[in-house]
Amino acid sequence: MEPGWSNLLALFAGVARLTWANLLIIAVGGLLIYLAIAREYEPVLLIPIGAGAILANIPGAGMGVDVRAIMAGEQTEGVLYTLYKAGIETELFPLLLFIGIGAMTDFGPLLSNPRMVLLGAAGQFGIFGVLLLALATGRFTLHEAASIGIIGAIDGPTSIFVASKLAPHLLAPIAVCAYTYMSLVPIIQPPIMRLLTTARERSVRMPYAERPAGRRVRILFPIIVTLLTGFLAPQASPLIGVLMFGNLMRESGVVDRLVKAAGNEIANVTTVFLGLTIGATMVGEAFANVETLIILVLGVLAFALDTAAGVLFGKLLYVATRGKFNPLIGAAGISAFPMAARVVNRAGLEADYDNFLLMHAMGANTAGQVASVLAGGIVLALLMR
Amino acid sequence: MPGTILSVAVAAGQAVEVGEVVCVLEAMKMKNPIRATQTGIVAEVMAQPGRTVAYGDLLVRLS
Repeated sequence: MEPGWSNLLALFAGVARLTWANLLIIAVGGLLIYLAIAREYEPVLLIPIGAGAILANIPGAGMGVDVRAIMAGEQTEGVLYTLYKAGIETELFPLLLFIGIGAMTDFGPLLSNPRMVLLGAAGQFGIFGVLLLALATGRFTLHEAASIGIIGAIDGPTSIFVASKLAPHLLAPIAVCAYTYMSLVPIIQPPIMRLLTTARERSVRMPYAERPAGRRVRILFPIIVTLLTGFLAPQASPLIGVLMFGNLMRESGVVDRLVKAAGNEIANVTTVFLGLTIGATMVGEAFANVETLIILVLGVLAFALDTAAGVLFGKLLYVATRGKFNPLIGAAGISAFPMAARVVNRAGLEADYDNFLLMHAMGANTAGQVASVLAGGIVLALLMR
Repeated sequence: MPGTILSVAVAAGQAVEVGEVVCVLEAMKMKNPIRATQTGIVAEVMAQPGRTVAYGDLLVRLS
């Protein structure tokens, strides 16, 4: 063959190495980008993840991050691997994001109605329920099952934090689940909420606290939570600590510049890198397999269990308060903020157009946020001995 | 519920049906339509766009 011809063939070497799994994931990447643009499902995350997934499946481009191969000691290079090493392996990215989340979260509704903490705890039921289910399939080890259960926290950074410690090879499906399901809150939750409550329960009105939480309480809250959770579950300290640090900056009222930087610039830059890197872990056969499918199903279950447990706990409060508590609010005890609270508010308005549950639901929702991080820490504390 | 009035849909003297939107309240970045709880004539509109309101504040008085 002429030397010129073999050079020409070398141009198509990548095409020749393309597998069906590569093509499938490129299609999935395209689907995520479509959902982000056409349906506006969490576009801030799904566009970087979708783009990362497409890049990672171009053979020979060196953009993929095959975590299984890395764990097996295989040499990996490339720009997205550099980001992976810098931000995911070190757990830096989820922690940077949490500073911003803390800076943007208003714990006021929770502080003026502290019993909402109970609902935040009930909303974590899916974590432990799915952990057991995943073990029951017989395909996963305890560490893997716990990482899958954490999808029930419905919290992207927490899922990544826990999975990168316990089962990094499952990071891709777990992170993709956690982030895409977050955007499915308005679809998955309402049928479960309707199924478990009566129209009468849904139309319970709840009065608002006359006095909002004072400044001193708001400032002391992040400090006390950091110390308490630190002593209780030190493994949760990195996550809770930075979350509360962000919130302390917000409530201090004197570092407006830092609060804006944490909530905007730092969180945005981190989101771009985190999304791209997570997308890049969806490499060929390492991602397109039966395990991923099972994880996708278990993830939905975790979510449904959280919602059901929250609503059922809400019903318990309904009985305990003799009909003064609206059980719908239980569904907001998850981390997906503020989607879950909005869904609850909407469901309340459907039952009675003059019944605004938003602030109560926000209280439960912020409690769910802290509780999910804490649950992640507890899982780590129990397993990493 | 505390929030900010985004827009007011009625004026004094106007007749409203029960369930009709009288104003829109923004709370927690969410737009909440506030609807009339009874049929009647708008006697007075206290709600003003851009104004922050607290729980229990009167927005529109019907007669």
